[in-house]
Amino acid sequence: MGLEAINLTKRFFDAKRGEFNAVQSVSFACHKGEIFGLLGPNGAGKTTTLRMITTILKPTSGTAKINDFDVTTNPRQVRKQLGFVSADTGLYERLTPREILTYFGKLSKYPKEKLTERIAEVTSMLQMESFLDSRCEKLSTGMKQKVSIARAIVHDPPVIIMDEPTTGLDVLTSQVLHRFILQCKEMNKCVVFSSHIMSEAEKLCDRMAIIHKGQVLASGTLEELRAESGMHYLEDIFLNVVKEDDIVEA
Amino acid sequence: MFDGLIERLQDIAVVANKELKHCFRDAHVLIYTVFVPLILYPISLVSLSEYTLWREGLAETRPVRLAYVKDGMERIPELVQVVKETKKIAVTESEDPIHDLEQNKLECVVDGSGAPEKINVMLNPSSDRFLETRVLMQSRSYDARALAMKNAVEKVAGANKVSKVFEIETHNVGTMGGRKASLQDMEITAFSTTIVLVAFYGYTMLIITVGAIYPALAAFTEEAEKKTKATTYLLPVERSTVVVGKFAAVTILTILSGLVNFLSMAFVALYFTAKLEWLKRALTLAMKQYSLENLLGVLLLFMLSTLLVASIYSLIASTAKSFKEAQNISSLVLITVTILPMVALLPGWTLDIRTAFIPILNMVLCAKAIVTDSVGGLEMTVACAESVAITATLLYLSQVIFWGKEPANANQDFSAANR
Repeated sequence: MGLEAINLTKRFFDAKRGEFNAVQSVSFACHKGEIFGLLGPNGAGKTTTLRMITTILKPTSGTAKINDFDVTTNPRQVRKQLGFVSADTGLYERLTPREILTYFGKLSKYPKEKLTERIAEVTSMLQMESFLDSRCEKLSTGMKQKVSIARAIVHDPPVIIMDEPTTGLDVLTSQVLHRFILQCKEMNKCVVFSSHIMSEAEKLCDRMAIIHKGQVLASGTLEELRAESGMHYLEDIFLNVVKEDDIVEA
Repeated sequence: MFDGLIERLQDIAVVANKELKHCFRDAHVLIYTVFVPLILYPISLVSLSEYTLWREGLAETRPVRLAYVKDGMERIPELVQVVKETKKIAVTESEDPIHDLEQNKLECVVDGSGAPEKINVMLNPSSDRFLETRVLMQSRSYDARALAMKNAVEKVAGANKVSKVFEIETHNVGTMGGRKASLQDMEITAFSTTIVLVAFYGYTMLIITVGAIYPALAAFTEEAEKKTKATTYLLPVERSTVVVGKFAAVTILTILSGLVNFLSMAFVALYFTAKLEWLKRALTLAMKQYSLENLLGVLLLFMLSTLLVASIYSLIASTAKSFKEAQNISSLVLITVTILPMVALLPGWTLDIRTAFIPILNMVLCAKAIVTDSVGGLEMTVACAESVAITATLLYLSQVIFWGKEPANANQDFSAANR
């Protein structure tokens, strides 16, 4: 049980390039109590992959399963099973964090009698108490990111997916977020996050996949990647894999 | 199945509740949906009437100064009598009236030396009271002419035979809307029809149309502009649930706007009836024209019109990618939606099987038919069914366009194209 991506492919059309594959046959799995990192430079296909997994985009071919629910055939059940945070998942500006959490909690069918308690638990975990009743339009970037995360997990989903969650955040807020991701692991959640910050992946991920030009070029635990490449630091391993791919293509 | 329906309705209620909160905190929505009908309408009408009354009062305390050219005064006794009875005119002695008129010491000089063939009324166009004096003297000359005519007829026929010439027979003068009616009935019918068309539909349609625009933009267009569409899409509910919930919120706010408008109208009506006795009498007579059934019928038409307007703006707001684009399209639609009720005022426009198919106009013509007791069952059914069908179609299109084939796919395509 957890998340499984099976040969996910997404083809787009654009006037200059014609049809092209933004994501090509991407496969990986993330189990309960595991943190999985999807690493790649900008435009590698991380966001498209995560959007397909979260049902926002339909795969051109391939599929993904969340707790055995297929994203192509049972998207509504899939959405119940996951929480997704990305730069595109904005907040309703004129609502307060408490109102947003209540809204998502209610529509996700979280038990009514426990919802208030759950909101208190989540906001305490993310240190949000001080701005829980301020309108979102008045919050800082870090505060907004916390609200986004709280919104994604208020219904206590077994799978949490984050698309570059620390981008644009200061060190302190990033630390809170890192602690939260580790807490999720302790709570036996399946966590997938994308990043281009290697130190973050090194610190948090149990396993990871390096994605470039829509394809997974390498995957495994940090130790496995080190053994395969003969390099110690993840940044070196990453650059080595990406460069090799560029040379092969040239 | 029943449980599923209840759950769906509950979800729609949750979405609508959220949208109402979100909309109500938007300054545009508050201004155009609540404050404009609540404040602007009464304020503008009340201040206009107060200004008119103030001017009337001013005219009495500072009457128009008039002088006669002496030689002709005895040739125009009726005008002299009428002017004498007018508080707004003060007759002044002048040795040289034309000179005094030039010097702005007078507003008007009357020369009756050429009467009855010709009476000269001279005004000074450079006077700040030129227009006021002109209107006043025009109305006084009509009165004088009527008085002269009455006096002339009396001389020939005798006083007791004259009254019938100046009175209108008010009994059994025909029918209106297929119903036997006296002239007085017809006047009341015409008056109440005008109230329904101008006050109720003309103004209310404008108000609910303006009132629907910003809630629709806040509920639909803002999702694209503020990048919350993907967030909304992650809700584990049917896509249609979200759109119907948003539409419900837009409709509620549009109805609210209409109701606030009715309250304002009631306030204005009360204000004017307290000030103007003739209006009180006319309104009292007009209200007798409305039975409970008529009022319920008009209310049903109001609801159908509101739903239609809300669905039109929901579609526009779903189509637009930005507030500016939505506002531009809305302006064009606003003109059409508010002009159609006015068309119903033109002579010859009644509810028939052809006009029953013209959206919005058919609703106004239905209302007109109700108050004139000329309702055709088939035409009314066609008009209402068509309105409901268009609303449902527009709502369906709103859903298709709002979500697109794949939400956020356009952004994705764009970013992919720029990689």
